[in-house]
Amino acid sequence: MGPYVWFLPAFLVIAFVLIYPMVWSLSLSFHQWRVIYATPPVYVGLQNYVQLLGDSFFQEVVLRTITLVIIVVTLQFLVGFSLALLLHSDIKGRYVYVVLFTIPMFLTPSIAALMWKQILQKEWGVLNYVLSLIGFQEVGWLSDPSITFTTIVMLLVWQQSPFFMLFLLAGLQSIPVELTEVAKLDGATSLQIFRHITLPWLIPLLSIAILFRTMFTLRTFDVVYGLWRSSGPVNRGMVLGVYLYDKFKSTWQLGLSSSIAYILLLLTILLGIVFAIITFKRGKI
Amino acid sequence: MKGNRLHKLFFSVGLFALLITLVVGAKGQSQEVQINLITSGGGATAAWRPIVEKFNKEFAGQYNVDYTTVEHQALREKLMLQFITKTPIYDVFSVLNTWAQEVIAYLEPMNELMEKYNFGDVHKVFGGLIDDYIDDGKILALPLRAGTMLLFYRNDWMLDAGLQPPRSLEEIVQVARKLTRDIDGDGKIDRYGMALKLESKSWTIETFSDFFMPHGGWFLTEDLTEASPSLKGPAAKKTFEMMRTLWAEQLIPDPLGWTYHDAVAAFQTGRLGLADASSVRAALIEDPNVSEAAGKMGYAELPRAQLGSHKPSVYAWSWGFAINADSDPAKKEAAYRFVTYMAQHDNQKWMALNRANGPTVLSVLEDPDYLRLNPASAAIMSTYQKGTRVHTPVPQAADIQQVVHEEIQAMMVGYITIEETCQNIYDRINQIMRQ
Amino acid sequence: MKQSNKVFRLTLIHALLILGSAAAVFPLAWTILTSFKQPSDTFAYPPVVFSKGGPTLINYLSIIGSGEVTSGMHLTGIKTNIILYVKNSLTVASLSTLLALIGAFLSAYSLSRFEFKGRKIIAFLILLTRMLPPIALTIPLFVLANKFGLLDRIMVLILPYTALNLPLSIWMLKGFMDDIPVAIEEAARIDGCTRLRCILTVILPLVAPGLVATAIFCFILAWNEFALALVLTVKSSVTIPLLTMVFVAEEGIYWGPMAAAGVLASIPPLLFVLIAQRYMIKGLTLGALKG
Repeated sequence: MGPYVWFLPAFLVIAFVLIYPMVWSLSLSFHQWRVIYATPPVYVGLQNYVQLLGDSFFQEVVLRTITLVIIVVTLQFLVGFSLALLLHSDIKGRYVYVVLFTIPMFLTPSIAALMWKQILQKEWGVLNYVLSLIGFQEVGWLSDPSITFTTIVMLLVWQQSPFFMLFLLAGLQSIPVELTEVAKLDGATSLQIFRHITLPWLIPLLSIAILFRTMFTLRTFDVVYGLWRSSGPVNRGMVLGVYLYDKFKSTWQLGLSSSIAYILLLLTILLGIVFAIITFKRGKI
Repeated sequence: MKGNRLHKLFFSVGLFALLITLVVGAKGQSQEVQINLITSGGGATAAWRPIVEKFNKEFAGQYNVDYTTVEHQALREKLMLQFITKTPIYDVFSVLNTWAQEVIAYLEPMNELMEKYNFGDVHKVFGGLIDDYIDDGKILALPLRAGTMLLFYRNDWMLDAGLQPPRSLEEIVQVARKLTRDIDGDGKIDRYGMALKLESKSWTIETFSDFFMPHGGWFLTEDLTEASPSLKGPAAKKTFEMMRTLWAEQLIPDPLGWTYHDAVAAFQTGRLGLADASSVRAALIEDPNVSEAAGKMGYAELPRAQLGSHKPSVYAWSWGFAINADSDPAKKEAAYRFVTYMAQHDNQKWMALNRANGPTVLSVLEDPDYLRLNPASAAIMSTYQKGTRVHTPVPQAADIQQVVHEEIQAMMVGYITIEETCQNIYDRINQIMRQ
Repeated sequence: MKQSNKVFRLTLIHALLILGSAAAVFPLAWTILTSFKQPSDTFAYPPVVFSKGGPTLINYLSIIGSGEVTSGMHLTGIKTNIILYVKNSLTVASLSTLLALIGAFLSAYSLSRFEFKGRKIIAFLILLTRMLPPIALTIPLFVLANKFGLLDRIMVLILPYTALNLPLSIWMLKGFMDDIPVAIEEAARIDGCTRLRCILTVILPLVAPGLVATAIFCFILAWNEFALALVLTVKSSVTIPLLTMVFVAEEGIYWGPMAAAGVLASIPPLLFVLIAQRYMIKGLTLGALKG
């Protein structure tokens, strides 16, 4: 009884709020329900899943999404970790910097997207203006299909690197001073301290951060939709989150969109397992 | 003896109390009927809200309308949500004729109430605009705000360049060639003579329809069962050629990132000389506080010719007010009274003259006061008279629009030829309609 | 030599930080500038920093107050009751953060400190509940909320946000707790303190940085969440993300008032991060560490 009681508050909330909707959604994924015809849901078994997984366009979308996740999470980690390290040292104005760097995370996403839409506008946006001053030609950030993916990566890295920064900064700040001090007294170099004290301390936290960022990036939607109200030029921004929204709220195929949601879930589990295996080989989770 | 008198007293008091309760209770039943209205926000609300308040005043004690506004896409989601779950939160709401077919099954037919209140012939009141909301003889919404697609242009620039508003697709290209210029010689184009909106499917379908439909093209056969062959015919081909030429000669801003509010902003800042746009966009462009084009604009009908096999038409949009089929009968009736109130001549005229509303009743559209006040009204009236229709008036509208959008974007970037575009759109629409 | 090396390092660090923060802050800075410009200058090219007459307050004035928002002389038909939105968002975000932290702390402690059957499975299931994109939950949650009469009440958002915040919070706090050696706790308990007091006096201060980071994530999620807020609110419990959408109209976008709303919407989370991070960064927590 002992250990389980501790879970009660969390369990109650999660069960009440998430269990029923998740089951409802799962059940719906085995039906077809086109509400624009006002017909009731029709049981179709695994048809939605088979249809999706066999569709070459869907496969393309999945591939694009996974590629996006790998690139984005890696970059977010690099940027966030660098920032955390920079801010860990006792420098002036640290408090100000932390707040500034967190801004991309809490700026209302819909407004941020519209502002970025203005900034990145090809003919008269600020970014191209600044580039023109340095002698660069104007870039179609939002209109050139070959740049679309880069724009999305840029925005996601801008928006969520602070996630890693906060997480890792908290981790760095919680390393007991005694550990590093003793090591310094013993004559260890900064690099040695980093490798043998800091890094092992951070790795468990890092794993969690990467796991969650992967999960959230897999369902990217806000950025793409905010910029284009669609999936971008020639569908270059069509990632799973956008595809899900399109099938759900644009064409109202409720059964199909539920299966897309569950495929996303399965994909997350898959990536999670892959990730767990990698980190398990290295040490502990 | 005393007991008997006491009994009588208690009995009469009890009877009296019962009577009071019945009377008060009955009065409670004929209380005000509260209905909830939701529409999309912006200029439409500026027009509608004062009339809602007027209605509440006039019918105080009988009906009361509580008014919420949300953004367009949010409106569609909220409406569909309440329909799917059969929760009538909003009793009356606005629907756009473009997507009205998606929700038609959930709207309450007004025919009976129209009989009861002697509304009269809907076509006499609204003309052709009501047709978008009639399904199988059932009248499902009343249009309260409408407009159509026009050519917006800078009158002063055209005069300076010795140009007339273009009346054909070729002339559009010629105008663009004359107007698109780098004025200050810094190597960057400061003025565009045309623009095409292809950012997302609503805008792509609008842009394409603006030139395809008035040339006799349409997306479906007249019986709405399959793709129209005009998609592979001259109307489509010539439209695509115009679009490709404009982009190839760099006469337009990059269309794949261009959307409706970009066009509005470009007119306001004096960077755009010509574009196809919805008449409702004129409001912000004619506001001298935010626009340097105020007072300098001209409005013309979209170019038309009989190239395709359908009757040339232009897309007209309208917001109709509809009643929730799941609401209580009392609320439905209140909603009906409200909707017809909004459609009354005086109210429509007031909204048109004071709040830049696009009127939907013929009596206002033909009213000399309205024609005088709105610079675009002549072009609008003329377009209505020549025939308007929705580009995709079927429940599968969203799927069709997505297909058109994808293929046209691919064509503009050069991934596919014009012939392939036509064939792909034709094939994919057939695929959709067969499901 | 060592001195100049240090100075070089410091300058480099500052340069990087300044560059980084400029990139991070730029869109908000642009929003702020736009909010103080005349609406006609929103799209000026070359871009201007201020309008000709200097910064103006008209955008702010137009959205504060219960009348209709005007842009220039133009009646937009938009009514914004900003106080309501801010009040709701603050309530929802604070309460769901608090509830999530409490629930997560307890669960994380159990996961970190106890060995029991199904430990790994529970940890995985917690994670699993977060793996379904929230948009898939909108319809059933709407039905549930309606059934319990919670539609458009504050509670209707607090519970889902707490539920959405719990998995990350539990895993984060567990991670921070795992790093604290059990020995410290055992030493304190040998000294005679009960498990509960132990937790409060030993564990809590040591995971303070983790708690703060978790709190910030929870607050931001609740503050910016849109999909559920759209579906579950009607008019009384509307939150900030819904406010920003009202400026997108069929005749165009009202950039001036929207920028002003965006700026106002950014102030509470900014204050929250400003205050909270002082409990995360060494300087104030030194004392606790010695415990």
